[in-house]
Parts: sequence; C-alpha cells; structure tokens
Amino acid sequence: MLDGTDESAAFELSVRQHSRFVFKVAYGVLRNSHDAEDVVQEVFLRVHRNGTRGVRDLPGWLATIAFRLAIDRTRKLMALDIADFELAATEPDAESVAMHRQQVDRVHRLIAALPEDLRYPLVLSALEELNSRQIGEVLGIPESSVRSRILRARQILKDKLMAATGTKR
Amino acid sequence: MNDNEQLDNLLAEALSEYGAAEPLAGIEDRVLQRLRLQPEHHPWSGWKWAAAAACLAALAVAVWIGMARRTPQSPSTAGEIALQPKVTPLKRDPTPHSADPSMLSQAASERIGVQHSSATTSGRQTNVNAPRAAVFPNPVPLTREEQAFVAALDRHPDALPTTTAPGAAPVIARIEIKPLSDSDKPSGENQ
Repeated sequence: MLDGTDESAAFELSVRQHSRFVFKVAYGVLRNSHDAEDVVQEVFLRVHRNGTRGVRDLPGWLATIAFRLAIDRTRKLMALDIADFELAATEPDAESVAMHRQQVDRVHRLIAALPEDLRYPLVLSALEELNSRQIGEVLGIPESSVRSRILRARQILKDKLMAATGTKR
Repeated sequence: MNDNEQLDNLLAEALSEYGAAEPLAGIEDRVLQRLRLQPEHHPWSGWKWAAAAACLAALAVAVWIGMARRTPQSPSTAGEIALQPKVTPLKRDPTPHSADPSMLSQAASERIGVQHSSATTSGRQTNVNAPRAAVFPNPVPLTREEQAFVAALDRHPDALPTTTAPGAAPVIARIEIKPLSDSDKPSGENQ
C-alpha cells in the first residue's frame, strides 16, 4: 500500500505522463489551447480528489473525463452554428495564401461542421494514444460503431471537398 | 497521384494537427502548482467530519439528559402535582349539628383534611428547600361554597336540623327485606 509520499509521487508521475495526451483530447473537442488547458487542470483536480483506485486503463479513463469536460465546456460556451462552418463554394481565393494551407483549413471547417456523433470518433482517432476500443469507451459506443462512424465521416468529408474543389472521383 | 489519394492526404494532414496539438510548455508544472494551492482533500475526509459531528451530537444529548435529571422539576410536572395537598370532601360527623356555629366552622376546617398522595413515598425526592409549615397537616383555606355555608350557619344557627340529642347514638332505620314475588323474578329464570 502506498503511503502519502508515494501517492503524491505516483500522482505527479501520472500528471507528467498523461497531461499532454489529456490536452490533445480536450483540444480535439474545443479547438482552443486555452480552454483545453483548463480542461487538463480540471481533469487532474478530479483525479487528485477521487483517486485512481479501481481504474484499469488510466489513459482511457483520463480521456473519458477530459472528453466529457470538454463537451460540457463546449455546450456552455456556445451553441455551434453549423452554418458558419459550411464551406462556402464562392470563398475568395487569395493568391497570397498558400493553396495547400487553404485546403487544410477547409478540411478543418468541414470537420467542425460534421455532426457530433461522427466528428468525435474521427477526431479521437487522430490521437495515436487511443485505439478503437478506448475511443468506444470514451464515447460510450461499441468498437464496431467507432469504426463505421469514422469511415462515414471520412466519406462525407471527401464528398464535400470534391464538391468544393470540383474534382471528380 | 489521383484525386482520391490527394483528398486522403489532405484529410490525414488535417487530422494530424489534432494529434500534434501541443500545450504551452510547462503544463505539467502548472497543473501540479494548481493542485498544491488547492486545500488538502482526502476521499475519507467527509467521513471524518460526519463521524465528528455524530459524536458531538451524542455528547450534547448526554449532557442535556444529565442536566435534566439534576435540575429540580418545575411545579408543573406530574410528580410535583402529586405532592400537592389534596382536599378531601367533608365526611359525615357524628357531632350534633346543633352545636355552636363557631365550633362548626372550626370543625369544618379541621375536617377538610389534607392528605398526601401515595406518590410522595414512591421514591420521588421531595423539595427539601421548601419551608416547613408550622401546623401539620397544612391548613387549607375553605372554598367559596364552604365559606358561604359557614356564614349561613353563623347567621341562622337554628336552620340546622336537630335529629338527635347530644351524645345520643344515631338512630338507624330498620331495613325490611321482603320476599321476592313472581313478578319480581327476572324473566330469564322462567325459560
């Protein structure tokens, strides 16, 4: 059994090991570094209060807490207006801006415009620390649903990008 | 590279930015610093406070019960009411009613005896601080009806019926018991 000093050392170690990962999970939802760091602070504050007794998968558990806190924060801060993220077909093409960067930004806006049940599996799949099973645990859905939703999200994005750029399959 | 591959690459690049997101340097130290500033909180601290509160409440109840037992009971309590003198009704006195009315009033006041309930000896403590009465039993003032009766006797001493002479034994009327007739029998016996 850990005494107080060992417990503190173990907790500090877990903060140093997982805080960046927790940040990424929060950032995937919030897309804002400042808000994401607030979520990281809140996650470890809760862990400090409640302990990690009985937790088998610490990264998955931390990701779940971070995801839920980020979702709460998103809903409190603003109701996302999907129309704002829709890709405007007549968006002015500034020659000074790199074409590639513009396309990546378009993808980000399209991702933000996806419905939540498709967006979050896609965003979390971008984190190499989380596998499909862990994503399923974070979102509370089966692993098979995670994979199908990621595929659907990618397909929707491709279709929208093709429509926007005028490319054909 | 065809268009589909280009889109895949574009998607992969956009998504990689989610994975590559990095906080400002020193996030771990900031998290730990904030936790150090938080007041110490253990999961069992709530239980500790709850147990302390329960002990305190039990102690307060014990003290209250002890205080209640030590303090003398107020006159309004049932035990003290039992200690109050009880006025008994007037008994029939064989003394002749034709006696002096002033004697009657004195006798009446004496006959209004004072009795203490048996509760006085049932283990309850009497109030030792109460002043001891000069006369035992404690004289009890006459009620309004008794005073009126005595005053009436003072005014009209002849009003009292004189049935017997002083010192004579009271005359008891003879009681005759008649045999039961058939009509007096209860109806249940005929059945």
